[in-house]
Amino acid sequence: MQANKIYNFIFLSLLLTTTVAAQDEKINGNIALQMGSNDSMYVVTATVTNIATQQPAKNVELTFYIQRTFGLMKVADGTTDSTGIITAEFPSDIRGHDSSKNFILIAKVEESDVMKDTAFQVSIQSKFPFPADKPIPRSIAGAHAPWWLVITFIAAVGAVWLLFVYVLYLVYRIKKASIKIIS
Amino acid sequence: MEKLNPEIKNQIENELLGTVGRRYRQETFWVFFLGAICIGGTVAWIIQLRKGLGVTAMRDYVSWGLYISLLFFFVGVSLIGALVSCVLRMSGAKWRYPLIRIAEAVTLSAIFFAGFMPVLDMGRPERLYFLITHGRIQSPILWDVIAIATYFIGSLIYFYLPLIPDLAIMRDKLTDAPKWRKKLWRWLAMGWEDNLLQRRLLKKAMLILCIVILPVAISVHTISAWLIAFTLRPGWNSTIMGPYFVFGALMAGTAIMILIIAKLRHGYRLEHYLTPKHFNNLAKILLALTAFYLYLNINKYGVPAYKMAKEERAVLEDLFYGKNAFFFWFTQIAGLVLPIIILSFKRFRQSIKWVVAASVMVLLGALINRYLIVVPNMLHPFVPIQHAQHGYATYNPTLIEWTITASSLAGFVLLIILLFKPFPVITMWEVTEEVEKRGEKEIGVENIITLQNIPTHAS
Repeated sequence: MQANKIYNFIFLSLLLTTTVAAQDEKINGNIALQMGSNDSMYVVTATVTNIATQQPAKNVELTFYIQRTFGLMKVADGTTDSTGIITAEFPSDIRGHDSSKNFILIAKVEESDVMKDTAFQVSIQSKFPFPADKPIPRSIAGAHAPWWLVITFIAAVGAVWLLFVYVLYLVYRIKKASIKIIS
Repeated sequence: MEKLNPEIKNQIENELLGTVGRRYRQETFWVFFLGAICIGGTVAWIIQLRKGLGVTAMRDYVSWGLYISLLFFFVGVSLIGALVSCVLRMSGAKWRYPLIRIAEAVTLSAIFFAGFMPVLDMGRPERLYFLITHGRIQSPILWDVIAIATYFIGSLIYFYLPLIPDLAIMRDKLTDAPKWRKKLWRWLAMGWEDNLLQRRLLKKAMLILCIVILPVAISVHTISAWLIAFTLRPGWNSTIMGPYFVFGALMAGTAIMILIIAKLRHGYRLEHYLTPKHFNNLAKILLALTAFYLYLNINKYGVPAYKMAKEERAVLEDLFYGKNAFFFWFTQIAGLVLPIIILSFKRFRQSIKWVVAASVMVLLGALINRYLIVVPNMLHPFVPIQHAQHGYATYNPTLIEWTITASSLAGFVLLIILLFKPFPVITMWEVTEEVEKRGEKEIGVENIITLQNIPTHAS
């Protein structure tokens, strides 16, 4: 029994050491991004190198995102070749993130077996601004009620209540029409 | 038609006044029984107020449970007043006269409790004040509150107007009543002497209110439907909700009207005034409404079922063969199809028992249907909550909720009973006037001209 415990401890220690060693084996990488375009697509070329050796890092999984207001929008992904290069395309009608038409492209290494997690980004000018040139009109659920709704609402409710008051006035006239009271 | 013999008129008034203030043993039992349930509900509500809505089963998914289901039911039932007082008036149905006060009493009680249900649904009811100070005109919730309040006031006035001549009769005839009662009747009778000018003014007031109350009634039901139809949820995201609610309301209101007149006819011995003709005519209306409501149901559930869009699928499967399948098919078969079959036969329509049986089925179906409109749709939102806690994506009402719901239903019936204690059930002056003008047959009453042979309740 005691021997089993010792073996278990040794096994777990070895497993832990191996895992830490595997984590340590991951390289620190650098990503260089180069932008280009054709008729309808942006073309991004990412070159991944090992910082320590300055050699190309192959088989690194890379994901490309575009920064949007409430998160990241994935546009492409792939794996670097033996020269450490990956080329990806995404549509060129992507809108800018601000009024200067700029948007941010992010290249991320996430949970790769080869390289530690890292991210590099580049700012690109789009052909299209965001928000759109014409502001989107507020719906009825906006902060302020539209004037036509206010008028319609007050007119409809007001008319009904005025008629209620008039009916009560008729009741008052019924009382006044009592001959006994008049005489 | 000749004028009624004053003696016969006197007998009719005596008989109808016989129910005022009179204690019936069975009725007293019901008053205490329903009162006890109401007390239980009040205790449960106090517990809910002290401990918060955590004592209910309402969570993030189902934030509208039994209380709002019952709100839709009460709002629906309250439409009966508009049906009897306005729609039947405009259609020239003379047999409506003995039913008017009963319908208005049902409406008044239903709309009172309809206004109360959202308060029960609030963890902090005192915050209702903020709806007045910070209400947004573009919100259907504000429209609903205003529409219910408007309909309540309108129904209260409509209940009062035809009562004025009857109050004068009570003032003049019931001279041995307690002083405070006589004072109240004198004050409410507005010096009514039955002169021409007073009659003209009263009929004008009733006509105006009849025209106004109908759109108000329809708006109450439509806005209640919009409360859910304006929300982007599977099952609710439909344009049919407005008419679906209005016709469902008319159907439930007619069913409950049949049940109440059946009880009053027997309990208050009003067999001469609430006759098989009234049951037969109401049964015909109920048949038409039930058939139309079935048609609306086919549209409401059949059209999305044909498409089975991804978003609607879960809620439809839940209704068709899921957890709520029994209730759903009960509402469709027992609540609609069977009553249609029963009421289609003249023989059954002319039998009060069969009409009452069909009405019970329709009413039960309508009550469950309100639950099915609210709860299963809330359990299947377009965007489900991620990692929702256990119990958040299900709804099993707690004892507190059941008690408060039962007490609201008990309170609704109790208020109707109490409304008939100080006032006659039948509008005396209108019935006698119309019998003089058109005869018994057209009004639907029986044998009241030979009433001297009938033992009276009047003291």
